[in-house]
Amino acid sequence: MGEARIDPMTLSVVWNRLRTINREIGEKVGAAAQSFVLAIIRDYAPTIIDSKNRILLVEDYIPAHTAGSEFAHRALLEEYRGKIYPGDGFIGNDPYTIRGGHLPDWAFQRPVFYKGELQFWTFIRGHMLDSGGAYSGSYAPRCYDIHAEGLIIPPLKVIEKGEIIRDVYRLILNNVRAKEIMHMDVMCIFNAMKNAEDRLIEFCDKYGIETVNTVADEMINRTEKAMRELIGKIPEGTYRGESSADWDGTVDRPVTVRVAVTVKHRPKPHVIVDFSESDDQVSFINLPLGTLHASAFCAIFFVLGGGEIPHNEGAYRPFEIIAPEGKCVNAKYPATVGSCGCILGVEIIEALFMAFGQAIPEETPAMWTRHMSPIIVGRDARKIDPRTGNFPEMFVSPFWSDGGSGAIFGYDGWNAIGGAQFAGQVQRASIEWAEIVAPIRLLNYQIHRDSEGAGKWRGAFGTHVELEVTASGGPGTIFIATGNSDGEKFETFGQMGGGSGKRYKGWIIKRGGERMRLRTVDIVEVEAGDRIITSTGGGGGVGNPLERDPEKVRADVINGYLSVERAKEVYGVIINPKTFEIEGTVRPPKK
Amino acid sequence: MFKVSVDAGGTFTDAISLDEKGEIKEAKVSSTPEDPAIGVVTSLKRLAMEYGMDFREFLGKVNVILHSSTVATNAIITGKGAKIGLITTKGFKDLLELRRAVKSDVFNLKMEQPPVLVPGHLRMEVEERVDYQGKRLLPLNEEDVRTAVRKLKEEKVEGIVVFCLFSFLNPRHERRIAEIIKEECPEVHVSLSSIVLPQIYEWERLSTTVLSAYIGPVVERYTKSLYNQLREAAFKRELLLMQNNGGVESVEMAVKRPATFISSGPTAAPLSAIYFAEMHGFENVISIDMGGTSFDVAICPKRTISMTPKSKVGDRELNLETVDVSSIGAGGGSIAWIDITGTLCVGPGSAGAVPGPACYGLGGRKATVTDADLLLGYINPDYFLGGEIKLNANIAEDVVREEVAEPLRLDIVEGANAIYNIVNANMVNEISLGTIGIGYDPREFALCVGGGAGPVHAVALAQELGIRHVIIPKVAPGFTSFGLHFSDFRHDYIRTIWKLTQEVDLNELNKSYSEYKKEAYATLKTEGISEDQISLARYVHMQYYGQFRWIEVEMPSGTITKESINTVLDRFNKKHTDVFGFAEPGYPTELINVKVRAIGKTVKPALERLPFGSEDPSKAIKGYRKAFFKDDFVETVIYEGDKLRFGNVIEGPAIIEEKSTTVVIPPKWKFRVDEYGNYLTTT
Repeated sequence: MGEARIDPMTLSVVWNRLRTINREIGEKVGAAAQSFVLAIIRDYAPTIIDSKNRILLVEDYIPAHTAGSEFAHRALLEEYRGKIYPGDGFIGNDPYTIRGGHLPDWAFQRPVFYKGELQFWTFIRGHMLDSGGAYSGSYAPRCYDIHAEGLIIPPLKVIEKGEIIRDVYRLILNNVRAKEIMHMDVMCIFNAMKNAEDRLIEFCDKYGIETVNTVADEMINRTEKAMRELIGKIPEGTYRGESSADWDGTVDRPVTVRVAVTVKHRPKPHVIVDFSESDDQVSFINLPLGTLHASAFCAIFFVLGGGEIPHNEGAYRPFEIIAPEGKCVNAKYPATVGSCGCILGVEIIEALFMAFGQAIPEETPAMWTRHMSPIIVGRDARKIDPRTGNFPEMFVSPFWSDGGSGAIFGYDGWNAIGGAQFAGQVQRASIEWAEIVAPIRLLNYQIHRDSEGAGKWRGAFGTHVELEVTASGGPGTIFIATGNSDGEKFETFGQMGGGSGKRYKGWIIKRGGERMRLRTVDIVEVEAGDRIITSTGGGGGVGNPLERDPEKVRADVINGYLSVERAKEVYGVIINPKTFEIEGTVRPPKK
Repeated sequence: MFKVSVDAGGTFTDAISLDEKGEIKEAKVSSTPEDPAIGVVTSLKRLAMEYGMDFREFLGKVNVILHSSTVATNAIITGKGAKIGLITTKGFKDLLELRRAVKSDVFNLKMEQPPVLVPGHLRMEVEERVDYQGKRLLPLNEEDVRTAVRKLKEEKVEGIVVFCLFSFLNPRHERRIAEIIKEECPEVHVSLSSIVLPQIYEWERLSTTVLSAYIGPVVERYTKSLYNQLREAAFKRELLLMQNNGGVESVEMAVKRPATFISSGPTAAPLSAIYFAEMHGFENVISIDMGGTSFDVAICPKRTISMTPKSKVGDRELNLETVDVSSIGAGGGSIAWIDITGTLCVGPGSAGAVPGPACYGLGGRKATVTDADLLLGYINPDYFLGGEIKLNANIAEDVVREEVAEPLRLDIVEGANAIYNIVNANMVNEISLGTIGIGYDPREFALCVGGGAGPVHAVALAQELGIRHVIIPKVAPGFTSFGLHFSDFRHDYIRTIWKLTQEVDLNELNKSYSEYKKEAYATLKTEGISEDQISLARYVHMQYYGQFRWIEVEMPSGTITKESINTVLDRFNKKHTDVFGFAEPGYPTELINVKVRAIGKTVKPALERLPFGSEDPSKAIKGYRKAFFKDDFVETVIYEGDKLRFGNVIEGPAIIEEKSTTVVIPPKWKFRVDEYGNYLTTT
């Protein structure tokens, strides 16, 4: 224990109070937004940054939006230092200044002043309905450059001292689709932050600013110390990992992320995470540097601390992340970044799981399912939107085709919680809502039988999804985008002898019966009557499947997720298909 | 005649009886989780003893028994519900597994995913499909249904859940499936999603219906067994059950719609708080109940209970409108521990009833809140539960030293005080979430306190929150049970309309409300409520076009006209501003659901008044001991609660020892005893 400069009671109270305030920002956004991905999927996250410009608090939302937010914050300060007032509000999405996300992810920031001093920043990054560019939702491969992907907003003040700066704001809204909706969601987010601001001020009144600052220092230092202690338990050495995405949507060859993780115990335990050997930047699936950080820390937090460690600046300090500019994991202007954290974010996580798997296998999960979510993009020709007087613009990303997590030593993977980059924090779309807001009908929604990575602890299962397009407004109005989907060429591998999850397979059956492959990282025009079919693999397994508890094998068979054939062949358990009785095992004798 | 309430909680079962004069008798017995009816009957027998009557004689004089229970919650948490099957739209049998839930404890992968409550071989698909407007796309294949029912019959399921996509817009297929089940297998329970939760969000509707079916047979067995045992003991009147929505219902209704009974447990507590707030003229009140393992909070602005559309039952999500009682693991048994960063935490882990806090001397080796309370001098080791349990301060000292003080380099008293303050901070945080978090100022509320541990901590909470008015009822230990006496019959009806507000057909709206009115009157009549005791409140669920969550707004009374719709719109915009900080009048809105809440008023008891004593409480002084306040031990007066009289004024520092609780009054606080024996802050 360090010598606490604050009594334990005050520390806990102040800390929990801050967490509560931050969490509430998120709840309000989810409850009032109109963007499908914000409200239904929960594709956003709030962060509180302190007066020393450190990430102080993140809560349980998608990690891709939190770690890395300090880049956006620094860019804002660079532009506006000395010109920041109470009641200001900022927006930004420029991957080359705020360095996070793709263009539809907008970063919102508000300063919180206390007695004339800048004390906190509230920060939210969320996936908006649209950000201009070639297609509705700003999410398509093969764009010429970042300008073609959509409206690029540098850190920009849009509210000054509580008043919207109309000239700037109008220009922004005029360059995105469905500005009536975008305006409401911008208001929703800024007001959720405003609410938090009022509470933070009350809170400083109550505890005094010095106490609050001491708590911030103390928690960050304690977090750093705890993280270094965990690192100190990893054997020193360099561990390598790599993982490849199917392609970038333009050139048909895999794109590979390579990492060398070097653990050192002296002078203080620290880790160098070096991505220098990764492929050069390509098209569409590149990451801005902030998103590399977010993805890397997502993997690191799964492996170290099991969620007990708060995720603030202190948790990041012991890690040095190296990635030369121009690599696919640290793109250089004017490269496109549309796919953002969904692809390559996954490869970063997988490469790190592979590396940590050699160092601390019992703490490292097998690979999670790769993300697959055919997105319905375009205009819904079934009705006129009373908000705009036009056909409704859609960006409906349902997440139905996702599987779940990889196994970890001692535990099976969780079904249906999505890819690792979402950390189980997205919600799959409501079928009924999706059919209301998009001209589609879901025909079949199942666990994909036998798709799991086998193991003593098995990975999650994938899914099998069939949907039909029910209306289109003529050529060029409705598309299926797989721009964030991955996993057609590579399996999600297991750890410690566990098996891999199956690869993705997808196709479209055209209205006339013609069958065409639905690739990952693509955008395909569809029309009424076309059917989109996806079969995804599950997460990787851990350990030898022949050592799996036969009762667990039986439970999967009863649920219909595992065939009796696979139960016998892979797990060595003979199960009667009618009675589900275990009739025997075919397993090598124990050594 | 007596009116009796029984609340069967996790640790204790509390029975409270009121006679015509308003005199209260209480009985607190241990709960019997394996068969909760035993605890209930035992508590009633104990009450009979209090009156010096034989059990049958006593029950013969009881005109109603009001009952709340955690039996359904426990069945869900322990996985001991019924074997149930599912009949669903073709293509969607795995929907239950595919969930919409977000994983809790994000980065902790070393936990098991809760298995779904209907295994795959009992999930049957039938051909049928309704579209997003409620139109039939595919007719119901009745052969599929019969095959499915026969298979489930063979599997000997106790209940069948029927779930079809978009049944909240068009329930015909679900209803037809129910008819076929009745023909093929009349003995099985049937739960329709369009009846249990007729609202959009298919997974939420399905999983809630599954929960309902899962506990249905449990509720039926339990209520019937209890009812029969009471009948055998000559009880001839009514047994009424507390529902999630804060009202009571007959056993018959609960068996028909078991989901209404899932969170029965804590819902009566706020009714107690509202009663005491009314007695003393407080407009707003916060109900708190701190027992052995949990701390329940209900915020009651304008003395009304708040409702929530979503709550948790163990690791399951319940999407049924429920009295908003939030709960955290903070109670007398909550365990103190140090996390990975070296920060002291208290709860949610609890030492439970066995082994209990270390000072019980039953083998507990973790430092708990009760251990801290003991070391701080708040509770009397020789008078815990009226002396039923002897507390051992030496053991409490050992565990606080080992688990908290030494690792944090504190002395024992500092350690105990840190535990006390942190558990209080957790409770303060929970209260803040429900008040400040949604725009209420806790300083405008009175705090009404229940539970055995509540009165030990309550004034400290009030102090932290800036609350000046605290009510500690004489019945604090049986707070929830007492609240049952103030419950009314309550039934909710909900129907999806889903139109742009300006396109809503006012005739249809008026017709919907009047149909529900008819149904409500009929139901309440069967429950013995006369028409003049019925009141109806009408609501609509509204959102800005394009939002995915609605807000509930009250509809003005009378026939609905254009003007009533305008009033509703104004109310909607105002509420949207209150909750989300902005509104956009003129933006298109949608009217999603209409809702009717029917209330059948019951006769409420009047309490017995005590004769006025004097301001001087000295006759009740029991002794003195040192108790810790702020930063030191202070010589503190100890009063015997039962000897205090109406009008007595007690100035802090003081401690009042009741049989089942202890009231801790810090310095500068002053309480008086009201005409019913309750403790109320006075200025």
